[in-house]
Amino acid sequence: MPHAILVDLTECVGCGACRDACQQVHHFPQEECTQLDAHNFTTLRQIETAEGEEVFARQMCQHCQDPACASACLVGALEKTRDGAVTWDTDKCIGCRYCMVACPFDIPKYEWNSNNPKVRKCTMCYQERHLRADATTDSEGYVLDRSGKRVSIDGRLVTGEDRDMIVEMTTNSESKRATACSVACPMGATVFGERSALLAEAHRRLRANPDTYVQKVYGQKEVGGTSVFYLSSMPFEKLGFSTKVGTEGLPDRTWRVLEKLPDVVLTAGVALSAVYWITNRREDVRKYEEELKKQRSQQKS
Amino acid sequence: MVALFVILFVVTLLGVDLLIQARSKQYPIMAAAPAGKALAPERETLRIPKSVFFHPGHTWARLQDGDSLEVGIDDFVQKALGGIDRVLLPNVGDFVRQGDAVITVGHAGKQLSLVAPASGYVRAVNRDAVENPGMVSENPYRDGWLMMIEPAELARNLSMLHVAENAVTWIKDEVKRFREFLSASAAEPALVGEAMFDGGAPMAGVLEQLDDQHVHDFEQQFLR
Amino acid sequence: MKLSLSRITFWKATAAVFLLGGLVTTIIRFGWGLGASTNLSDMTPWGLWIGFDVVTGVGLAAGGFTLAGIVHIFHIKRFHPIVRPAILTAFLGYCLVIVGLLFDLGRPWAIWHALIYQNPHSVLFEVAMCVMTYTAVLALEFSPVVLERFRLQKILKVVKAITVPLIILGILLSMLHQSSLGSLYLIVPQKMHPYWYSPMLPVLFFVSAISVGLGMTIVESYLSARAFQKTLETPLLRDLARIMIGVLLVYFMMRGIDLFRRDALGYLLDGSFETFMLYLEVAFMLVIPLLLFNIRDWGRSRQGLFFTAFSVVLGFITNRLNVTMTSLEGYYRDNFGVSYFPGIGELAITISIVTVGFVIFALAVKYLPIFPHHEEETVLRLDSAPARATSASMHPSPASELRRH
Repeated sequence: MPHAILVDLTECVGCGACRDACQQVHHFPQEECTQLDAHNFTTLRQIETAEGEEVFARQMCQHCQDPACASACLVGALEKTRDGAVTWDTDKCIGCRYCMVACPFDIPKYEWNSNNPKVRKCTMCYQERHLRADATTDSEGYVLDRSGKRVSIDGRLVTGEDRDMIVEMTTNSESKRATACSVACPMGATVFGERSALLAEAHRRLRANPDTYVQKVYGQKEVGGTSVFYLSSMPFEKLGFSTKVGTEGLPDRTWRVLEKLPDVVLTAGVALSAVYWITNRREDVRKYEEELKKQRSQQKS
Repeated sequence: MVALFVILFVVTLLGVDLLIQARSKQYPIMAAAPAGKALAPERETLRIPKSVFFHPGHTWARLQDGDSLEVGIDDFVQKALGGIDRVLLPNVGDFVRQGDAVITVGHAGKQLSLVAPASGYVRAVNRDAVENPGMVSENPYRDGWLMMIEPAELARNLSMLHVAENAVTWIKDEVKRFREFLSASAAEPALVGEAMFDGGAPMAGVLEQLDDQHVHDFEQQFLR
Repeated sequence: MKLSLSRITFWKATAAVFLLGGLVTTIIRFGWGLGASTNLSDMTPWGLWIGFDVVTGVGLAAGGFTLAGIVHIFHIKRFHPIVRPAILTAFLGYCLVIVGLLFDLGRPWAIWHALIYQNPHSVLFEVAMCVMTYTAVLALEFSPVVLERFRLQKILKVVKAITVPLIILGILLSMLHQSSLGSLYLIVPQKMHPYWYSPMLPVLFFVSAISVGLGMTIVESYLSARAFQKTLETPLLRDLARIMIGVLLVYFMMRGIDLFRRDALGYLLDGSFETFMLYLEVAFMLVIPLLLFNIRDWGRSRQGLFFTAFSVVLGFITNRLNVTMTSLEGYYRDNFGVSYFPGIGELAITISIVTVGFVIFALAVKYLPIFPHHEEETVLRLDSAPARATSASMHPSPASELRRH
């Protein structure tokens, strides 16, 4: 069942609880931030409207339905899971950074100052949400999975203490597992849930309060649909959202070319072989005729 | 900006290279440069390829794969003329005989006719060389070839020609003979280069400075 | 002799300085990471190393498949003497591209992952596979040169037996990845300037690669003539230049139609930096070569052909850097307020890689039978010194070439 996140910016008061929770659950340094980087998967930007009102724009990975990053990654380290999250596999990545170039929202960030750098971005708490509360620990206190292997999240081994913290942070008031940001939001501005249900809820809110909202669910159609939806009282371009990304899945653009390649190779291969055969044959004929000519002139003399 | 920078960088490198090239031509740092005209170093040497057959009239022939002869003029004539700016060749299909004067080359108004190094039908002429005679002085033994001949009496012809060590000895003698010719025929020794008398002699372009009579003498004594 | 020495010495010293800078950067790069050695950032993840070392580099090495195709598939045997230097450049070029890539990859030790974790939907995966395979193919295409040098007749025979299939494979692989380097950018339509984003990118990349492959061959031939008196005949180079110009005309016709159909021609008078760079591209790649080639004496002289081809190479570099860098500058400026300019370390590595390329090419030309049969000759000195015999060549005959016989 694919999940999604709905962020209603009209409900957001800019407290930063989502950001703090995100930093905490991923063991990042607790700090204010205005820009996404390798240690900040979500940010809040404060924007003043013409009327002097304050609006907060939250930014995080859109978890596209057809992600450009995953299609770009040559080793398939980025993956759109059935859960809805776009995740990244530490072990596969070779560090080419094509995902960063390809992402229409410029989300993936890089550990530039590391000698073993990782690509980092919001994973919709994928691994955290799937960490079982009853997972056992070994004698050294590390959490084990069902096959008895130590569990690691982004290359970091999980201890029993970690497990308890993570499970607590990713379990919401209805005792369901959700992203740390949605659990932490005191206003209910960020909600985690089933994608189709959230989309329906978003449209219900637009219909219920047509004066409050711009009549658009950002993320529903962008780049062919995403798993993070935004509602806003202000036009999205004024909030710094990418509004020029189009409604077509970007991977289609490269796939249209890639899918033709087998045919191109086959056609060109046959054509080249044919050209070779013809020119080679012509060369042989020419040589043979020369030989004949020589023989004839010898006979004459 | 990056693109612009890279392009400017590459252009600068090329510019520096051209500048160095130009400077070194202008101010030669040669050990014993002749007082008069500064000469590029390569003009002071004569090339004698090993696989080329030389006619005593300073033309050459090279056997090509198959059965044709590549023909051209040698470095000696080209240097003596000081370059080539005019080339006249027989027509394709003509029959040329070894020793017949069939090639004409010129430079700065002076003209020389040279002989065919072997007999045969002309199968091709180097049109590029005719249109751009500079090619002949640049490399008389490769790009500067003049014509292709289908040889008629190859074995007999070849016995007349100098090759390998023989060619080197012959050219050395020719250089010596040329110097004697110059000192004997020059009305004013200064014209042909004072360096000549103290051992070394620049020969590049010397013919330019001789009058027509002496050029004619040169043709008779060296190119037949 | 002393003249040319001073020039060579100058370039040797310059090369040494560049290489020293490269060495220092190498230590910083692998000791402290990309952040310490480059100006790359989260906003500008790809810089000079991808734009020049990889995307431009692969294009500049396109002479290998172009000439191998002309000579061995289309049987235009006239160009046979050019195949070897072209394949050498290609092989060298691809090796250097891989070296450049190792610098740029965050985890270079994991480069082999491309072999086992395959994502067929990724353009980069296709590029990686083709570059890898093609480098191997080039090594085989180049091997006869080494085998001849060391007289390993048996292996030589085997390699020659598979020459034609090998060359066809090489052309197919080149077609795939030369075009795919353009396809890499198809995924960012909204980030690029309309001058350079086009659904036609793959085709345009492939056609321009053919023309620059020919251009590079002419340039190399001129440079090696200057350094070693080992070269090709001018009329041959002129014919090559003629094909190059033909391909360029086709390329710019496609380019013009493409710009027109996407309504991108409207920007041509806006006086922006992008427009200037587009003009620069057209000037170097089309206008200057056309003029030089048609000036009577220039177009026929070795030097004139060199400048014609060199201009095409410059134009090609401009084009690739325009696609990879210039076209994105506006996006970076508007969205993040940043601009990327390579750091001194990035420049040092790029220049070092190019320098290493020059050095290896020079050594190969000197010690391996790359340029055709250079006959031995005696050089007689006319000054006071007695005649001195020098050997101008080390290999006795053109021997056999990369061709079945």
